Amino acid sequence: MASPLFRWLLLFLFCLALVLASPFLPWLAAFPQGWTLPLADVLNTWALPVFDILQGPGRALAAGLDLPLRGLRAALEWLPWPALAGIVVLLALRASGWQLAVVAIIAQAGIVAGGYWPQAMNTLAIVLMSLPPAVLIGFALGAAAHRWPRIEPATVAALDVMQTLPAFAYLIPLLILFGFGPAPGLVAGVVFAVPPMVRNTILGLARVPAEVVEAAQMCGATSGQLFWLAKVPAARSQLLVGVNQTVMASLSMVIIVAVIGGFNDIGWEVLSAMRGAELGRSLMSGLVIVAMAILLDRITLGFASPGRTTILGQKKFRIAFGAFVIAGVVTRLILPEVTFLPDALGRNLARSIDATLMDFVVATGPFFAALRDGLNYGLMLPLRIGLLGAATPTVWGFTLMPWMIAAYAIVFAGGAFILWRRTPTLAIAILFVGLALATGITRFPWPGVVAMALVAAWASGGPRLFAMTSGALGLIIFGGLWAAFTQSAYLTALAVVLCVLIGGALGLLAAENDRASAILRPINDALQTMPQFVFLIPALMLFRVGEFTALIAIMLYAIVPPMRYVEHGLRNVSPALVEAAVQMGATRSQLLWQVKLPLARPVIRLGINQTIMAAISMLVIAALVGTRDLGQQVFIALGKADLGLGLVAGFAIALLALIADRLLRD
Amino acid sequence: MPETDQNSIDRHRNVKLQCRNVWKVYGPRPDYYFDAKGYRIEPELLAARLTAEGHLPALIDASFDVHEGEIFVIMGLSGSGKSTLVRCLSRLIDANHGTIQLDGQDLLAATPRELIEIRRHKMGMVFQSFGLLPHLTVLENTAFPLKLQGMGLAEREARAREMIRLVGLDGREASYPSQLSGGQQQRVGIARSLAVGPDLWFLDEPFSALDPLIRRQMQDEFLRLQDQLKKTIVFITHDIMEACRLADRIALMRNGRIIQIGTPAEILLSPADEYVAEFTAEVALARVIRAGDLAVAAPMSEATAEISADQPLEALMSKIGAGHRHFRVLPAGRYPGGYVAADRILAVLGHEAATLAEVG
Amino acid sequence: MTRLTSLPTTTGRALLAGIAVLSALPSQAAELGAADETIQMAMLEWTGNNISTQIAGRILEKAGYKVEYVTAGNFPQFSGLSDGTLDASVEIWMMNVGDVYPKALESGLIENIGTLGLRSREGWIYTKATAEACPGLPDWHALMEPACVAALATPDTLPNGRFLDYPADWGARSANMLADNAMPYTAIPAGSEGAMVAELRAAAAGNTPLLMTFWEPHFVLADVEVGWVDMPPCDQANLERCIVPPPVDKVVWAGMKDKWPAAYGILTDFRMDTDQQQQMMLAVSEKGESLQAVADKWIAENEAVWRPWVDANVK
Repeated sequence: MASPLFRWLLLFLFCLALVLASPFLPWLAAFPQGWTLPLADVLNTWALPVFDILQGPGRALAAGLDLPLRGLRAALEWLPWPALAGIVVLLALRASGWQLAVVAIIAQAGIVAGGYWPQAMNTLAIVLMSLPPAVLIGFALGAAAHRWPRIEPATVAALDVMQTLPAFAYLIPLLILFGFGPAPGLVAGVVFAVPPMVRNTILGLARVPAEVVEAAQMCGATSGQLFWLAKVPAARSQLLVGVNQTVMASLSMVIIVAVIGGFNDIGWEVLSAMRGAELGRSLMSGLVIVAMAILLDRITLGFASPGRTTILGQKKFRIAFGAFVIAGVVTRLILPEVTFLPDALGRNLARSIDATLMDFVVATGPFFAALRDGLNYGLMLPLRIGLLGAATPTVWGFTLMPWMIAAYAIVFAGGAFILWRRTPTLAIAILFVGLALATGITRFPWPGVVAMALVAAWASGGPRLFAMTSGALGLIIFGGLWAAFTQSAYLTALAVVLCVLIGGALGLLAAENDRASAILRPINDALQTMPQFVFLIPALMLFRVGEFTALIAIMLYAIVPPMRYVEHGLRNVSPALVEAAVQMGATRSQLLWQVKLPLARPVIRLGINQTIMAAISMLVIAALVGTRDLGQQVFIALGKADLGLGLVAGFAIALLALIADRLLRD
Repeated sequence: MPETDQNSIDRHRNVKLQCRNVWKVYGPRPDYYFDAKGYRIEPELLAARLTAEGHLPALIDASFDVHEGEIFVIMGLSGSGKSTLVRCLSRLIDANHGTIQLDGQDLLAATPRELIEIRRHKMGMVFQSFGLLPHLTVLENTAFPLKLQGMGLAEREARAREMIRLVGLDGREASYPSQLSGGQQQRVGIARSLAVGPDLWFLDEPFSALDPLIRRQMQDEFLRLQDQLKKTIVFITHDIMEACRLADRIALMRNGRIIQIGTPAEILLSPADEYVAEFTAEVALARVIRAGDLAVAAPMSEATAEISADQPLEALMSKIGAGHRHFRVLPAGRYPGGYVAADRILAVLGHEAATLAEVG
Repeated sequence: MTRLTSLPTTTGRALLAGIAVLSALPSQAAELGAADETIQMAMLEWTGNNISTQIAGRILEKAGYKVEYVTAGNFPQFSGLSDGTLDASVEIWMMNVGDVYPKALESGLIENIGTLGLRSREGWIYTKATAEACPGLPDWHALMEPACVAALATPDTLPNGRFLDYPADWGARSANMLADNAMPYTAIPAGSEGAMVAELRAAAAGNTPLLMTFWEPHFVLADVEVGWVDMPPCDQANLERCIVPPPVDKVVWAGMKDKWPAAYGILTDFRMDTDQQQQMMLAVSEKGESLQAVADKWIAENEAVWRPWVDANVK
């Protein structure tokens, strides 16, 4: 046990020496520009010719996708909306029951009233179109990983990259390959939607009970029969969960389709509303996406649930389905021009939302400005540039005296010394925190960060993670992205800490209080499915362009996992253990702190992991409110049509997420 | 075919399944220890070496014969290797060493294609957690092996219905496994394993997952079925009572080794070692040992009462209490019958007998 | 739709060669060109552009063409214009086209067919509260006063004042001008146009000081009252370090000239009046009229304006 601790202590001394030396060696604080390698340029020189070669097949594929997509869109547009809505209600009835059918009626009525039916149908066309390729590719990859377990680790790592690589980073290659139009967005959607299918396929096939497999073998099944007649059907419900998650993933990519354009979908509405900072319009179109997400989710989950009983039998369903289609077709043939859509009922609503927001901004402006400034001065600035940077006459109104530095050092060193004998791990952590707070996260000497990351990677993941971490750090350092990286690390770390504290507390409340849980659940759903762009508008109006708004934007998304996982973990502690503790006379708080929380630790840990992933995935969106992080680099690359820079920055983000995940996994 | 030294009342029947020196070893390179031919393996030495070198010998030098029409029970606690053994016999896992012959054909040498053919026609297997396909109905599950063979729909369903009737599930053909109780599910498992009309029937702890009452009922059903079908059966259990009730012969396993093979009476009355003795100590002999187990052929003229050979000794107690001292044993089941004296019975039951006699 | 799928899927150059063959065919409708194939017009994200596009499209329809309006992202549209997936984009503001546009123009796959004729303006704007804190505005020297700098300062810019700049990917002309004139301001890149608009709306409503770079005509300026700074001097020739009124141009696919000669001519002649566009923007975003209705109305009322463009190019 002593040796790893010693290693960390040594590392701390190394970092301390670096910090002390950095005033004299400026290359320690900021990575010198002259040392970087033209990675992006190299990538451009060899990747562009490759893409040129691939352009032919890419364009052919795009054309192949385009025709059915447009056909589907035309069909959905052509049928009068009541017929389509009726079919959706039928599906809801068949998948789940009356409750979902009522939800379907309300949700679709909302979409129609808001004036977004055509856009919603265009979006549906994209989702439906991306579904078959994503499901087939995902199933094939998952089956291959199941068949040859040797390739599974590589497959899983590739999936992680597919899911964490920001789509904006490979927009340029997509445009080069597939041209302008919905095809590149569709491909991006498929890329993003394949991983959940693969994961669920692997999981489902692995979870087929051994005895089912043995039974089929003993019945004399050939390997083909074993797979198709026993394993796949037995894994059916997990596979359907995969389909469900694939639908959700491709729905979450509609924004990317819209960024490119060429398809007047609901994502386009969200984007143009964002451009005009019109909260009402963006909120309403965001809610349309939420409504679609809820319907698609519940309907597909309903079909996936194993013990499904339906109130609408196969035969009745078919008859009713046919009736709706025929009624729709006949109506359209008789009345070819009528849309049956209300003329922009929603527009007035949108305007009144905007007006309300402005009133709110005016009324609460001073309060939020004070909050923003207080947190900026008191928390964010010192974290970013350190106490040494913040304690200046212009920021905190005084100059740092040598005795203050001495006192600061004594407090942390003393604290660590006292803790050393009981919990040496915590003592070392305190030393590192003290050092980092003094220099600030973005000004911590880079060799120290590199050394810490590599040691941590080696300790928890062995040579594989070490190699991965080295690669990622190399990409960042030599790609000239160090400053953007520290900025990202600082934003992510701050957001994660705050999310875990606040979200954890809310999750705890929800676990203990049913009413709080009932209130938080739909809020969580909305935060997760609503396009993030929607939240940027009020955040910008209240907090202005800058880091603080970026932080809020990141937190609004990343706060969901801690809330969900803490509640889930606490609520699922074995009732037998809770009963035992109650019987022993535990008070409610003893029960919580000494029984439930320790038992829920693995789940909570997973939640923290997910929080980090969510925060990193928001870096790109946060760049829209003005940051200097890796996400901004992705946008700059987009503006410059610089494929290399986009990929370098994008992969840096993806690898960061991957490493954070691996480091925290065990 | 070489006859072993195991004593057996079925000596006269043909050997259906023969198992010789079978090993199954888990570890980094198990085959390394068995690839050299020509010298005799000393089981205990090799097992010790394997363990020392980081391998886990799950099955050590297993040898036995299963005769036609016999119920051969492999009995042991969890981890004793009984599950490994039955999976080696059915080749669900491949043994590292030894020979397994079914009707004289070497199973371990069978190609995948041949193996599939053997399983399609000669073997059936019932699993502890049933192993039913969740997406198929009772009828489809039962017909599944026939479907794999490529049998036509009408034919296989007719056959499956017959099997379902045999296990007493008629009326539930359209149900899904999730809609059935555990006992009913296992009936489906049994019907399915019988659908191809196998000669050799493996049952891997088929009743362990069931409630005690249902288990007892299923055991009776099983005996009734076997009475009708006369299969060759390898039956795995960890329940000594179940083993004694069902077995013609029992192979007792511990730590990957077969430590004793014999009829239930032999195991109970002359345990091979301390472990077996301890294992069987809790068994109520009076309920398990049958009159036929103690019967001798030599006639006893003083016999005053008659008893069926498959009656447990318990049933004789009241008669002994009533003063009968010699009995004629009537043939039943696998027992040829004969005569038995009360002294012999009381001696077998030991101190138990004294109390029972007083009661009687 | 048919045209999209019938497009050659090889590179743009091969496509151009194909077009040249097409246009060489003798035909009665040579002036109109391939009038039975739909012209794809790019609709970008803002109302002004949508109005210009809808009007241009209607004029082309009057001339006998089929037109489809396709939503397009500001950067991705050049990809579409390069390979003919999009045929024309009639209102492109040249200050936020990144490096994508020059690269595409250089490749010869797109063609700039001149100005839309909007009276454009670009520069620094400020809210009413700023004028109170910095008496002397619009003269840029007023921004140098310490009191004014202090009113505009924020924690991330201390001790400098805060200047809200264009997103980082639109270039850094304002930041350069601030540096060249030694102005005590830190340029904060906005990240997106939406961020600029949101902050401007909030600052105007909350009556707080704000100094930012912006352009006109812009629909938000219909709602928000701002002042324009009299800009500090700069070298008009150096576009990296100086702000000049941005060109608002029309860009078409390079193959358009040969495929639809008359349409190419009409679009080249097409001009939009700034005040009229501003009125129509208001009608759409404030009065809730539909885009289509507004465009139809313009066509009906301004035949004298557009008829000559059609007549000059169609025989």
